[in-house]
Amino acid sequence: MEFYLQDWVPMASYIGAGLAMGFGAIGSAVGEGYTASEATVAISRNPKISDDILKMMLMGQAVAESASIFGLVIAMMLLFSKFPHQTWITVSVLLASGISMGLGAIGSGIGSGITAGSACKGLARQPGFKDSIQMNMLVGSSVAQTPAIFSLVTSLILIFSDFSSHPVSPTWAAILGAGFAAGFGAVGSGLGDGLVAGAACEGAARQPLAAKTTLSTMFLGMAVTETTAIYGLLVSFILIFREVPATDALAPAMALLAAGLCMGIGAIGPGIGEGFTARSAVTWIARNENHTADITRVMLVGQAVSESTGIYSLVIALVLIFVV
Amino acid sequence: MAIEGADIVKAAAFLGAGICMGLGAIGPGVGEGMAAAKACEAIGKNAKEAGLLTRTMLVGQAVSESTGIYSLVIALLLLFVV
Amino acid sequence: MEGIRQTQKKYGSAALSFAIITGFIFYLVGLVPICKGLILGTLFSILNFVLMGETLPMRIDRSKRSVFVIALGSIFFRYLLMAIPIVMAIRYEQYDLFAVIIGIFMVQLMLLADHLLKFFKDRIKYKN
Repeated sequence: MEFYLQDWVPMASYIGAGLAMGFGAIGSAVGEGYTASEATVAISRNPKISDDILKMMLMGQAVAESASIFGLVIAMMLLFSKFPHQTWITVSVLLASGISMGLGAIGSGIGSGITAGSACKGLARQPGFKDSIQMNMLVGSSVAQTPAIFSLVTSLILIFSDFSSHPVSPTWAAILGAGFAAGFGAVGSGLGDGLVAGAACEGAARQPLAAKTTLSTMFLGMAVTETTAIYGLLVSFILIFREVPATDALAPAMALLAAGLCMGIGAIGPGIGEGFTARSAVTWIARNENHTADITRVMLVGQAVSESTGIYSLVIALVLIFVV
Repeated sequence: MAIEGADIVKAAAFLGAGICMGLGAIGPGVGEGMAAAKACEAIGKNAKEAGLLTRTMLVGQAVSESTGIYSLVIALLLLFVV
Repeated sequence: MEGIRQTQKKYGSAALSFAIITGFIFYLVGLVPICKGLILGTLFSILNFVLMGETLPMRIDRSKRSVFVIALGSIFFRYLLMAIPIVMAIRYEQYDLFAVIIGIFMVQLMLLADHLLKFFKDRIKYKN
């Protein structure tokens, strides 16, 4: 079986576009399923305000779906842009931007859906505090979109960079690795951010007077949750912009690909775990505002320990890039 | 493009190291997060025991961390010994 | 459905008027492709926002699985619509691609801007 470049470039663009669109849509749809089931519970609990709950669902969905529209934008660019210098690097750029955007949209889509669902549930409990719940939901789910935005940025940089002066042999692996790092790295953080924002919405409904403390804890928790996505972005930028010497051997190329995979997959767990921690901290600060200091301290310590595995992945990825 | 045996072994070791550390980081990350979540909840319910709860959380997380450290060790072995 | 219609009217008209005003400024400066792209993207953004609400009442009282299928179908249907301005911007020089992309997210930006403005107004009121 022989490989012809002119066959592989269009094929890679179809695969990349399919990944970007498909995964993005699936993430949003799963999130919307969650939102709808929570909204059903909310309406059955408080049928009088069903109109308000539907309104909340619409706004939540509008923000949650932006991740999938990012996927659409990248997919259309992959399908319809012209790439002048076609080499094997082009094939890997097309695949990598699809992987990065598609995987990156999953977490944010599901996470924002969880946030919107919690907001609906909170609204049924406290219809009087509609404004502060809505505010928490919109801000929270917008912050939960940032991992998807990181993936979007990586994909756009990959599409618009000119790699024609780079040597083909290790660069293809570096680019594919960058796609994996940015894509997988965003999954955990997006999901975790959504959990935290959801807890903030429920907290605003449970204890409207503690809304301010809840919101600031939410931001703190989200900022820590997002660090692993930032590690993914960092590794993918290093992989994209670092000049690598040309080589025919397989080992250096595989080291770069492995660095991307290592950082990307390694960022999923800490992202989700830190999200769980911050969700619980926000929930309990809303119920017991007097002990904010204690709970915040434990949250930060717990998140720091959970982060350590993400840091191990970062170290291994950097060793793979710079030492080996 | 000539690929030799030693080159393939090296390449597989690197790929293995990356996947080992990546997958190995998922479990401890999620597990430690859950432990910390429960600790936050317990402190919310009973803030007087904050010191004891934090200590217990850290011990539990340290045990949970060990699998992450095993992955790290294996990844380093694959990188530098093989 | 009344509430949904109101929300759609409010944010749709806000997005369109913002796009027309900024587009007009770009037009005066001479950056016609940006002006055209912004307005094109915003029109499709509003269309998307209006269609988004149509399946919402269908989703209440269904299982998670069937809601997933409904949502997936609705997203793919709207994907087909949203693809039109992006492909136009990539194919034709007279629409700026980045302006179209910003236009597509105009409704979401308006949603966020409206609430942030409200939030800071409340903050200032609290302090006084």
